[in-house]
Amino acid sequence: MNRRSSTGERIGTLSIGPVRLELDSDDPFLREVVVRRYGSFLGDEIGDPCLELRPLLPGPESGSPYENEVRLDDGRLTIASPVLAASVDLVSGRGTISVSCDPLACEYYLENALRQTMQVLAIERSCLLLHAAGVVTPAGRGLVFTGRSGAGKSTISGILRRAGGMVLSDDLILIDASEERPQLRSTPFFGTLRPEDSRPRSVPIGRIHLLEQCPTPYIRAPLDEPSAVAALLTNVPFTTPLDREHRQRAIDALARVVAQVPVHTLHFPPDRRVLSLLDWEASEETVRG
Amino acid sequence: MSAPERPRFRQEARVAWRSIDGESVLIDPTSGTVFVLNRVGSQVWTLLEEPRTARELAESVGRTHERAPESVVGDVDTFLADLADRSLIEETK
Repeated sequence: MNRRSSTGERIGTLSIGPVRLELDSDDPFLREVVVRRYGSFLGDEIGDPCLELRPLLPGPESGSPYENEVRLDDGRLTIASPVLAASVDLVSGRGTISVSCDPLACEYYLENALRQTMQVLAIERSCLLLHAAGVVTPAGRGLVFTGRSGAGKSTISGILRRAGGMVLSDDLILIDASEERPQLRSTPFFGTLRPEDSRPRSVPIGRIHLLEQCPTPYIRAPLDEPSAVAALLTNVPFTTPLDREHRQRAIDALARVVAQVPVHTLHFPPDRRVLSLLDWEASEETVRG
Repeated sequence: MSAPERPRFRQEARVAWRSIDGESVLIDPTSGTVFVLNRVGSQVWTLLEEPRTARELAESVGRTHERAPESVVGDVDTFLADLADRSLIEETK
């Protein structure tokens, strides 16, 4: 429910499929940051929760601006660091994010809070943010490539873009298990490779790959479902504060996905030979036989 | 003199888990580490929703696999010790 308690001027609703977060602010700088960075994902629909963005006044706190203390207690998500103070009541749908308005770093501090908040909201809506690259093939198939940092998400995204694929993100995608057929959704959260067309997009997931860089390209047989869920769970970020209920929802969402979508380990060299392992030119109907 | 009471174990309440295709996927609440238990491990884990002794668990596993409880209780003990080391189960009164 959204009980608009914010007194801030409405900026818009940050939407990734069914995950919607309404953002308000009276601060012109913060409004400009949000519109510039997330403009194509901002809509007019009602979001839940509704968060008011405020400038964080400089305080006496010391410590790293890149280390957050994140908690989820009794339906309230809190994030605290020397540059950020966020409090989101998931029950009432109200909250605030106070963030340092350092002109060079504000958007990174804010995005940190938004990624964390969107993950909790996603899990409540049978979705998950996954540390993964998402690519749509020329034939319209949705391919997911997940792995730890350095596994090659940006590398393979670059190779597939040059081969005619559309990269939805090279860092963080939304897996939507709320639909009858699991969907890959683009997000405004990317890594080193900025999408050339960063608009909201959604495509059925054809295959999920666990990335391993290797001189010889090969692809393993699909993992069994429990192993696939376990492997994907290790690449679900922002889970530190999650309670048992949210973790179980995350498992449930992935179980629904892997029941329909094969998960393969892909050993790939950083060149075009990987295309032959991906049935790159094939349509989903051809691949599924 | 009565025999010493055998310890009973049950799942640690904060462990998130689900049974998938006969196996169990567990998330360690502290570290976030993910575990997959095979079918036998999953059978024991599911029984641990209620407090159980190693002997009770061995009898259940033995029945399922047509083995004498004495032949599996050692494996059950080892498994319980492993779960306890990882704080995935707790001893109850």
